[in-house]
Amino acid sequence: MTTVAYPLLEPPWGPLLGIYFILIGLASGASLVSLWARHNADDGVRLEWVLDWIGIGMLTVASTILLVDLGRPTRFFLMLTEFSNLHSPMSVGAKVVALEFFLLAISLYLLHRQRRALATGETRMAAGPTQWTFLTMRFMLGLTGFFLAVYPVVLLSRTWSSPLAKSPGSALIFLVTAAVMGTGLAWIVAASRVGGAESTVAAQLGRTLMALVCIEMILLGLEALALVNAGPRTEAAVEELTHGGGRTAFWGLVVGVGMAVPLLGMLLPRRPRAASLVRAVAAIVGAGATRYLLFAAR
Amino acid sequence: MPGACDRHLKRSRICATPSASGGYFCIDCRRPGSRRGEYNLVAQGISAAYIRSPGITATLGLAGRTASLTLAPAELLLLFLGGWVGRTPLGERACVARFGMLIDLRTCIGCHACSVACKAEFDVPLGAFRDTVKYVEEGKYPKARRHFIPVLCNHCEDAPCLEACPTGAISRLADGQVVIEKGDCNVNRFCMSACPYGAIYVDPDENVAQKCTFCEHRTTQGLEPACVEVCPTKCRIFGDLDDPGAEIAQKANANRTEVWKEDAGTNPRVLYIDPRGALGLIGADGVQVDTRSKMPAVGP
Repeated sequence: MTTVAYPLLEPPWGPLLGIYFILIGLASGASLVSLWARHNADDGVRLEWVLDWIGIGMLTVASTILLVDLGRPTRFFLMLTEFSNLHSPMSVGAKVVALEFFLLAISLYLLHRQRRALATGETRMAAGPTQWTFLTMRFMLGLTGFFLAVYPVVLLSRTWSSPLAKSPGSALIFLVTAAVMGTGLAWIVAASRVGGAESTVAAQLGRTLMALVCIEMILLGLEALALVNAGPRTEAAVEELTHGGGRTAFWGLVVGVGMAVPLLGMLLPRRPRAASLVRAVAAIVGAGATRYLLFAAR
Repeated sequence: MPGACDRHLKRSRICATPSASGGYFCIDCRRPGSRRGEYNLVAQGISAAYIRSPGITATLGLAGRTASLTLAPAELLLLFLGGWVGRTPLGERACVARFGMLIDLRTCIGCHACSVACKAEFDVPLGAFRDTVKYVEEGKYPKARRHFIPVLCNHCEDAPCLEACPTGAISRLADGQVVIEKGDCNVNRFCMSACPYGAIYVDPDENVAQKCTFCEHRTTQGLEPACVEVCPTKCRIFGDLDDPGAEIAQKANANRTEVWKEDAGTNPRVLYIDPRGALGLIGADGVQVDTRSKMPAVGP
């Protein structure tokens, strides 16, 4: 086994920060899929409504975890109010997380208004400022969601403690895993309604999820090729994943649960609702594990 | 007008007064002042804190000469007004040194006097180090050799910790020391992850990130850092790297110097005279990892 020294005895960031990156991925994925749902789903407003609540919930838990893990919460406002160091990905990330919170809150309010209007029989949104506000909000949410999906890579690539985050394909993997988690959540939401599992939107989400899982698998394969002879620290991290302490999580959760279970589920002649939910949950677990291991492997 | 060159640097003194011929000279040694590019201008009554604030870069004529200035707009206005009424001497500039340390590995005996002095100076907690000495063994008997390598924060020109800190708690002082403001640190540990030297630790008593400051509290008083002062072999030299008359600059010019982890591209201000290539032996280590090393067995 490769033995590599690191500047610090213990890595500065622990498992809670890895969980933070998973939750941020869930929130950003939900935002990205929510953007898609407005234009493509027949029950798009309901889907958006639930996904936005999930997003805001994930961000709340993620921020709480961060405060608990890092301590000195009274000083955290500096990360939002201090603009002198925009070189710092953490500084920019904190501001975007706050922006995402704000946008989700506004979006939920607007969706609440829209749901009330739909309940009274109004089916068309008023043109002009109302429509523009909705569109701008969703566009901004999509942008912040995209940023939050990828920004952990920018953060981790500036450190010695996560060598795999510096690898060429890591940003794409983080983006795809966020999309997998968001699509998985949306599929669960769509299928949870009575008769929802057979709906068009559920079928679309199911196909999209399988395509994203395939893309994730291909990206991991290409990443493995790219990391041959990538330096002692990167090689040590790869070895840790495939043969060391992280092998159970990698082969079991990422490859087994995250890829094999959803893809093998497609072979079933009949696909009951429970099986669809299991495949969606498995894909989410696999994508979350991938994000965690890219952060933690060293 | 009174002044002092970089060699006779005192932070509170105004130096490098323009002479009648337009040049700069030092009141103490009559040596011409250094002509480095970017000067921070400190006018009377203007807080030195302005120096740290991001300002605009402008080119102004100063007493018949041109210097590049980095000033906030408010400062520029004050300087113009002050100069106009004769209350602010426009020709004066603050001394700005480029503090660094030169460590001669040929003379270090690994006595740890520097480590102990640093621990005592800052009450550094057990298991953490601002400054320590690595013991590294190379070769096998009968050609075995032990190296003693003092390590500390490198106060890099391109400090990764400074750019990583999201709260602005890490800043560079006018003379180049990179320091952490305790009140602004929220212990997010990004600086620790970014520093390739492992020079930053979390002080469990105060719950803030801490590191070597080049003993900024001492150097502002004209004293040397504690580790330099106690070194029995004088293997550490502290001073202004830009001052050609300073001992550190002269010794650095007379010898081939190396830096720790040059590949990290941080431009350290801690230089080593290392003819035996000992720094390469700790290329992957950090300041904080000493506690992991096993002490040799003693006794039967």
